[in-house]
Amino acid sequence: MKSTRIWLGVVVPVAWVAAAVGAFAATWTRLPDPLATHWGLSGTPNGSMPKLAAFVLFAGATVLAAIAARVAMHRERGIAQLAGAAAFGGVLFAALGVVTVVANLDAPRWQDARAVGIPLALACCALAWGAAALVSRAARTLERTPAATSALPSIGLGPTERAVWSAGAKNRALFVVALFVAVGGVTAWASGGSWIEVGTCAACAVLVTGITEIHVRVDERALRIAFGPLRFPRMSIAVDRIEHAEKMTVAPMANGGWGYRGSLTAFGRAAVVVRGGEGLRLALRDHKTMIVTVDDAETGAGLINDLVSRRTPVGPLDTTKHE
Amino acid sequence: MLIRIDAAANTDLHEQIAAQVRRAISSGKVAPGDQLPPARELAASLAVNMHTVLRAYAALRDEGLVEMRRGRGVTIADAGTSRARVVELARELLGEARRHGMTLRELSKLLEELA
Repeated sequence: MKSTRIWLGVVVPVAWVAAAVGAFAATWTRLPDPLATHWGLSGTPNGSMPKLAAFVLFAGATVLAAIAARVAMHRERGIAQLAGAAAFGGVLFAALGVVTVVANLDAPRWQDARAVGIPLALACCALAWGAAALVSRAARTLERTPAATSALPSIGLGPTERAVWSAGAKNRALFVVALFVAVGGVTAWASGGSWIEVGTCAACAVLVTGITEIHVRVDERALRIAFGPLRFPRMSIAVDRIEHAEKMTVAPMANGGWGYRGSLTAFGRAAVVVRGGEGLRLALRDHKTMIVTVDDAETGAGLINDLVSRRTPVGPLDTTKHE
Repeated sequence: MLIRIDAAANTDLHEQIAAQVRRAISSGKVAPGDQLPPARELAASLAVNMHTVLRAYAALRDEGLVEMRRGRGVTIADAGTSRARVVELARELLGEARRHGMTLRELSKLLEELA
């Protein structure tokens, strides 16, 4: 416990600050001023910044992330989220700082800086994402799990009863956003935009459409979520995997925005956020948390809790066939 | 919308399902235009025969509460919300009348006189 706190709150943050600051400090005299800090899609530098300003930016961002990581260690709940977010920011800026320094090394002017392409930028993001996953996974062991309250919702499902609950959540505003993005894509295509621009617009429009509405269903076996008007893709969480369910009020910004946020596998926490307001919070048996925004969450939570406390399914009800 | 059925109850399963959907419509849990779960899906979730669910949906359609269209599934009818309440009350009235040995003819005569 203690050593985990020191690793996540001190050692790792110091490492990312040291990487960013060290890269600048070790090469300061070999860097041009101003420094190339922005590259176009083709990989050639197209933006610059005074050397000192670039240093302050990267050092400042990594130090802020380190402070956030330190703060996370003093929390009781939400440690993994904050530590993960801090690690993402810290490692991302450290990696971008190192990439910037290496690209500018020994260049006489910023225009002569080495090319930085999309693959390298993606690699930085992947590195940061991986670090965030590792950190939040380790930090989860520090979470003080809230004691299951005695007043969990219930619908009083009898032993001979069977039930299915279906509900959903919609966000019209997101639909408008998807429409705008789609129009943008069509415009880009019509005006001869690159396939990257058109493709990005198309992909974004499809992704946003997928979270304009969700359909949630709970039966004896699982909670199922179907995304978008096409009800595809789908995901499910087996009732056997659930410890208990509660109704909660979801604030989109506290969960990282709208959409499928987080990852059960990597972060131990995921949220399906379509809109703000009513939602279900599932405490899973492996100490993971799943949040779903959905109407009538009290009933859904009640059914889940009743099914969890039962957990032994009975045979089919009617075996006789109607004509 | 919560649909719960009880194998130990005296009422037929298809009637239980129809009653649950009717309740959901009259209480506003589902609105006109909303889709009911596909019969196959609902049947699997409740572990009942698909025909049991179809029978319940057909009854709701005959009562004018839902519309069944090919390719669009089963949707709540426009007048569903207000109508569901009336159908519920009518069923209750009919049950009460039967319990007191009143014939259908007597009941409809009573209603005609009231109107």
